[in-house]
Parts: sequence; C-alpha cells; structure tokens
Amino acid sequence: MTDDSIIARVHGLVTRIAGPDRTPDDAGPDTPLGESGYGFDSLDLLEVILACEHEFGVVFESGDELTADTLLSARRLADVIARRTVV
Amino acid sequence: MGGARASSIRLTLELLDRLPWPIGEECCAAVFVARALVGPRRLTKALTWAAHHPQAGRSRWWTAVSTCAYQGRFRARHALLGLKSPDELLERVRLVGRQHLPTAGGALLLGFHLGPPAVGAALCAAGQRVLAIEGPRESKNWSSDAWQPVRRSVAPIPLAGESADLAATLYFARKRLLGGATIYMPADGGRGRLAFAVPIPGGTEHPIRAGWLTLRRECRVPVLPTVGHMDGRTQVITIHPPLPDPDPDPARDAAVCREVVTAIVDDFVRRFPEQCCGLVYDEAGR
Repeated sequence: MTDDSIIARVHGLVTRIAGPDRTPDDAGPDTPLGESGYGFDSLDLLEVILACEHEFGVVFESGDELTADTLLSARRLADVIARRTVV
Repeated sequence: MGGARASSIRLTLELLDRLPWPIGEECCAAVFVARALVGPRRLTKALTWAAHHPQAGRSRWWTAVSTCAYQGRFRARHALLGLKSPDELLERVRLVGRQHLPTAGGALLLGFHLGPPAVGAALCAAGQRVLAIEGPRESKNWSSDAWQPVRRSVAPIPLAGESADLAATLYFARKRLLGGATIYMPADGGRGRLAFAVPIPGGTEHPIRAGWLTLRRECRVPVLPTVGHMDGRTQVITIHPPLPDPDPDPARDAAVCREVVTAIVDDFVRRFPEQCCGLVYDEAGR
C-alpha cells in the first residue's frame, strides 16, 4: 500500500494546479483528474507529471508508467511514484 | 454506415496496394473523385472551397475535382500504397531548407495537415534523425519488415485515446527534446487544447493546438515549421526558418507564433489550394 504522505503530496500538487475554481468540493485522492473530476486536459496532466518529477525527483521512464489508468487519479499516480521510490 | 464506409475504403486500399506505384495511388485518386460525384456533399464542399480560392487559368471545377483527387492520393500516400520500402518513398521525396536544421541540440519540426501526409515517415526515410509523432497508420507495407527501420522512429499519437495518452506523448517528447533529439509533430489536428486559430480565406478558421507551444517554451529548442506539397509525383518537404525565440510573455509569444504560422498557411493555401484536403474535409475525410 502506498505511503499516505506520497498520496497527500500528489493530491496537494493536483489541487494547486487545479486552483480553487477547478477543484471539486469533495475532492480527494480518488477524484478523477479528467472529465468527471478536475477536468484536466492533456496539458494540465503534463503539468501534474512535471510537478511530480520535481517534487519527488523521479523521471518517468516507460510508457507503462503514464497511462490513462495511472493518470486516473492522484492515488493512482502516487502508486507509480511509490514504486519508483522504493529502496 | 460509417463502419461500412471505412471497411470499403480499407478493402479498396488493400486491393490497390497490389498494383505498382503510382498506379494504385492514381486509382485511389479516381475512386475519391467518383465518390465525390455520387455523394454531393463532398463535391459541394470542394466547389465551395474552390470558389474561395480561384487559380489563374483554372476553373472552379478543376480545382474542386483536383481537391477530391488529392484527397484520394493522400489517403493512398498515408497507407504507403505501392511503396514496399523506404527507398521507394525516398525516390519521390525532395527536402528543401535542410540548412535551417540546427547542427547540434534538439529541434521541433512543426507539421500541419496541409499537403501530403507521412511527412514524418518521409523525413525518417530521407535519413533525418527524427522522431516523428504522427497519427496511426493502417498499412500492410508499413507493418512489413522493410519499413521497420523507419517505423522505429515514429511514435503514433493515440488518436482514439484520452488526454492522459496525449499528456504521456508530450512528456516523452519533452524528454527527447531536452536530450537533444529532433521531433516532428503536428501543430493542428482534432485534439488538444486550442492555442490559437488561423483564419482561412473563405471565412473558416484552422485550429492550432497548444502542445507544441508548451514544448517550445519548456525546452527552448528551435521550432521549424515544416510543410509538404506535391510537385508532380514528388513530395517536396520544406523546412522553414525557425520561429523567433520565445517571448517571456506567453500571450505575446502566442501572437508572434500565430503571425508566422498564418503567413505559412496563407502561402500554402494560395499556391496549392487543391492540396488542402485537410482544410476542406474533417478528420474522417467528410
């Protein structure tokens, strides 16, 4: 199970990028990043990915790490990051 | 009905692919002209387009029928009909403006849905070390071993995918650019955030997407508009001089890019209106 702190940090990045106007009232780590949640388009998602790169010092290497499934929510993305940061 | 139409086109292309180039391509052109004549909506669109883009010494009907024929030729070219290997394509490609390519570091070659498709594949076939981001290609030839060296350098844009797939494409393109690679990608197309629209004579506007603009600002690499047109049977790919360096103000930067892109699109439309099927018809070719 992914460390809660990683989930919280990714969620924090997402809400910062979304801003108050685009953050749903009941937003949480499982709120969809796309249409039915934050409404992020591809450039918003790119901003999230780059923010995670900077925050966690990870560089995503393969196409398997960035997919519709892993970019579905903050929690899913946190799972990918957690796997990359396991020592 | 849409599925049946797509299947019939696919079957037609498969049959025509058995013919040596350029016979298959020319037959495809004839098929698309015939389709336009029996389906008035296509012909009407072509005639309306032709009315807005008169050419000296040519009738409106000539331009309209040529537009339909080029739609067929470009469909064939996208499928690499009759082109069994990259060398066969290379024989029919001429590259202009090679001197604008930087000698070191990354660069972004910015394509448009103007003129013949497969510009990225043609650049790769011409020996340019380019990663081409293009739409997916259904083609027996493309899937063959002979095309494997070029296929390795082409990343298909997941046109049917979601924003996440586009985001991943942009992320890995960014990585490659920062690593010194040259990438060819389209500035336009049906998906992605709108950056600005280019006015087209006749009252329409052509949407230019924001992905490349973001990469330009992120990576600070030269961005070179790259356009292809047909000169007889030769595909001429013109690499234009690089856009000005990014302005710190994003709105001013977008305005500068819009001015340059508009001039290039205008020039192409004025010179080759019959090769602008991408502006006349939608992405599904209707």
